[in-house]
Amino acid sequence: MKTMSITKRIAGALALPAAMYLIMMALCYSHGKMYYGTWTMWRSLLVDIGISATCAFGIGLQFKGGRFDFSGGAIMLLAAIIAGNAAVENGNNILVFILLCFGVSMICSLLVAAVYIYGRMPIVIVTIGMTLLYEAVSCLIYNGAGINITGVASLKVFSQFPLVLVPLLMSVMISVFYSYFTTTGKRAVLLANGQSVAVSIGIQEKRNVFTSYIYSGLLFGLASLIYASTKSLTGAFSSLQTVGELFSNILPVFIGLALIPFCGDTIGMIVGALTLCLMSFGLKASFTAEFGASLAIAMTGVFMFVFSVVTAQGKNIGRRLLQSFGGKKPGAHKE
Amino acid sequence: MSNVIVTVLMSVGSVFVYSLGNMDISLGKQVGLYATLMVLITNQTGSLLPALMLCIVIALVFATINGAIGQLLRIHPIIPSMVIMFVLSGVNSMIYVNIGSRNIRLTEISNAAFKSPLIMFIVLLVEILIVAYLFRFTKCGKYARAIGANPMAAQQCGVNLIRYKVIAYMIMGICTVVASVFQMGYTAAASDGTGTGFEMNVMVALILGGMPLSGGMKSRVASAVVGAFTFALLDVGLPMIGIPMKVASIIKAIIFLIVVFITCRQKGDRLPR
Amino acid sequence: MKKSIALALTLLMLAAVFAGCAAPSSEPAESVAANAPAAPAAAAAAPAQGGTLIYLSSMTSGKEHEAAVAMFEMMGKELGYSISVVYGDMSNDPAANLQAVQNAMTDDVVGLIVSQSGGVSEMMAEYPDLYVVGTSIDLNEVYGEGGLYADLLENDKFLGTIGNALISGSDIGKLHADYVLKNGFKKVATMMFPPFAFPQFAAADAVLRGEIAAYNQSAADADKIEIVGDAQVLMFAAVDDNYFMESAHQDLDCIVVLADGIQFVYPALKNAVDAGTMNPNVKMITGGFSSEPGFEKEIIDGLIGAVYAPAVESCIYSMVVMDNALQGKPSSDFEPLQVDGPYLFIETAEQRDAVLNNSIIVSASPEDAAMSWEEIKQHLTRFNESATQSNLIEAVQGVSVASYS
Repeated sequence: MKTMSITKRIAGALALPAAMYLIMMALCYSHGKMYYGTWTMWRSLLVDIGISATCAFGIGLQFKGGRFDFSGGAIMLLAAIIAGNAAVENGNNILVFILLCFGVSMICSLLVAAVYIYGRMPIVIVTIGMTLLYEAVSCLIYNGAGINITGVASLKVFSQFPLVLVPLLMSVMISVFYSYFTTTGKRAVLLANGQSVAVSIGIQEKRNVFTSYIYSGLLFGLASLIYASTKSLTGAFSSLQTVGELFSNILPVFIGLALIPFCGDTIGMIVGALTLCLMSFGLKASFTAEFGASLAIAMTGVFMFVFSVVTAQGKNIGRRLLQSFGGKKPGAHKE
Repeated sequence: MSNVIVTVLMSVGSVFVYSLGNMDISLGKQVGLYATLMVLITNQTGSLLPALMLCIVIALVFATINGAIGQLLRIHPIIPSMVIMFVLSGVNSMIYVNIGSRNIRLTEISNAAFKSPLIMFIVLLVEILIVAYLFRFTKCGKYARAIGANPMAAQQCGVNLIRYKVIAYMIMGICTVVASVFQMGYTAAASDGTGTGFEMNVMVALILGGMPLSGGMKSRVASAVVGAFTFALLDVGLPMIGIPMKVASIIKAIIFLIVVFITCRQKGDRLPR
Repeated sequence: MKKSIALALTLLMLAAVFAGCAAPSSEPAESVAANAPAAPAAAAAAPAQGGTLIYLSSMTSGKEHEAAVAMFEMMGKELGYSISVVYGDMSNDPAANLQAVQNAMTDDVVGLIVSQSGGVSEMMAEYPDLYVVGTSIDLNEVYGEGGLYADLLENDKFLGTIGNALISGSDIGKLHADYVLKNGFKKVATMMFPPFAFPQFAAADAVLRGEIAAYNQSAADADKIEIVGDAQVLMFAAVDDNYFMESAHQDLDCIVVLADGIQFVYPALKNAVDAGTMNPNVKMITGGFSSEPGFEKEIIDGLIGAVYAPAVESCIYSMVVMDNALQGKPSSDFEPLQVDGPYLFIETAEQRDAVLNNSIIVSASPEDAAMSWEEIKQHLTRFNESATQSNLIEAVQGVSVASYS
């Protein structure tokens, strides 16, 4: 089988963010925003990429296993609130903060896994139910006040450069380790692509699910480290309010899965997060706050649509373009 | 009452789409847009009819996009609905920025009819009967369930996937417009937050009613009715008996899990997907 | 068998829903009418014997919310009312607010205290016998020119409102302009919530700019104040980091935030200062107070130069007016007015410490309120028949930072 050359791989992986960078740069410069592309911009963007990518890894881990998990946003929120408040009560102790972010995320994830495994209900239903439960808990604890640690320098280190790279790199390592160096990760792929066959050949599906949720709990814990430090959080008083967080962060997952042939899904998700963050930053910088915010949301949707069409139909589109420019018709033979 | 009626009207219409195995996450934003347009156009023209017609046309366009694009372009069906959700988010926001107010109120016609429980009941009954008839006794419903059960088999049997998916979304779209009339009409107002989270309410209602999210032959209109009423009762009833809102949320979540445990639990050696 | 039972249960449920939801104003109105007078002016009806007051809150959590609820509960307990707290819609959606009130409605509800404006008119139409008073809300939809709910002024059951601090954009603008002028800032920028949701902030911004322009006309060149660009609109989301990357914003010495700056501006500003891309001596004047960890050092000594926060004691006005009406004894000069709320303007370390150590917005304890229960009683006509609305307004508006010193 022909394998892709390294040059093609790199080009394929970087084409999307490079194109987005150039387009947004042109847009920003045309509006006089000359700071686009500077180191200051990248420092700020890294934080957004950090949240987006780590969250995407958590969602993507389950998505690759054929499980659509709605509970990620609620888990992050609950972990951030509990860990943040506990850390503050213990004299702004960062160790307490880190341990509780991981601990609460993992416990919440394992609870989802337990309900799924022993409840034997479809995963979407389980995760919706657990999301409702976690959101309700976030409204009860600490009187629903949430947490705001944006003023605590010692706790918000993960929302600033360079420490924002720590959770990002750790999530990359965990994701890669799970996918390529653990039997759980490899078996998860088998289960996703042929559940009956995989179970028939002896793969312990329950153990596999349990283990995968430990890893996704770790990833959401990393995401909540950054998430808690970047903004003021309150309890989720509307049902399934945190699902919006999920739908924002699932887009890098789709991009990552589309870029598998070039760079694998892990790098692909980072590329996806980078592309979307570049676009959002550029649009908000170029337009007024009211218009920019609305435009960024709308353009994110349009971009995803175009991206999905291109990845699904790219070969057909390419072939038709070639034909229209005088290329071979399908079925035509070489003479 | 308006909360109940809107959830039920939307859920009943959504049965068609959920029976395909799809879900539409742009419903809430659509309700917001339709309610806003109804108030604005009715205030301009003095009659609800032009607004209603326009909203139905827009709903049919969205239905065509949602139903056809996914199938034609071979992309996941949630992508077009996600796109519509994002676009409408931006559009709704810009409408109110341009109006210069967060709320708009219906001034040209009386909204007494929309608050009448009798009219709500009649509209609901008519919609349930029509949708149930379409779902059980016509090709639209049968083919929607068949597509949800096995799209490949349905296609091989000669079912035009695009046509029946579009029809399913159109039925849901029209029901959404009807729901928007009552949502707007009950308070004779619309705001930039109208419709927020409604798609999640519909999803939870259908799940509570026992609707399989993968669609297929086990889909029933009754699931929507029972689930939507159950959901609305929980939403309305728990605060009514004096349970504080924060505790009511936990109770709702636990009841949801218990109900789905009873109705959706599956046996077998494989975990359900 | 199972299907029959399921069908029977479904029919029962449907019947219960329609029975419960039909004729929404029948039962509550009847029981309220038995206890409350038909109009505030009619003093002949028997006084209300307690009951429940629904408090439609615009906040769901936080110290300010806890403090307001604690104050209402304290006053309610003294007066024989129970307080039912319901949460308004985050977007002020009329239907959602109405739904929240409907869900909480019981036979013994005698009044509504609202801090959300969406749906107020519909609530009064749905429950025509309930008194309604605003708290911490300007209700410009009632009082503004061509307001959506202007017809409420004709309704005898509408008791007016007290604002969330100052109501007039002009007053807000002047307050902030005075701070800028007093402190000798030279390069200023402004930020605000969207005008379509908070038109008073747009008016305040215009007045602020007008005041500074007037000052500049007579000032020496070296003393002139520059306002950079138009007001940055915060669309209910934090300001983007790119705001502080613009070269024109990097040497600002004052940022006037006509919004909750602590939540929406501070994180990005702090990041920019820490990254070295922003003047480290910049001062932000912002709405909203925070006793959250880390902020006690930031206010006055740090990036937050001054705080303009509503005082929770505004709820005293609402409760007094409501009770007077329910007792059938409105004060002799009563009118359903739109009253400016008390506010705390913190611009020194002493004031900050006084608020942190002694005020109700940090402790959420009614004992720390600026007005004691004995003082409040003086404005209740059931205890003091000569109590007047003007005295009440003066007393409540007199609450300031000095009250906690």
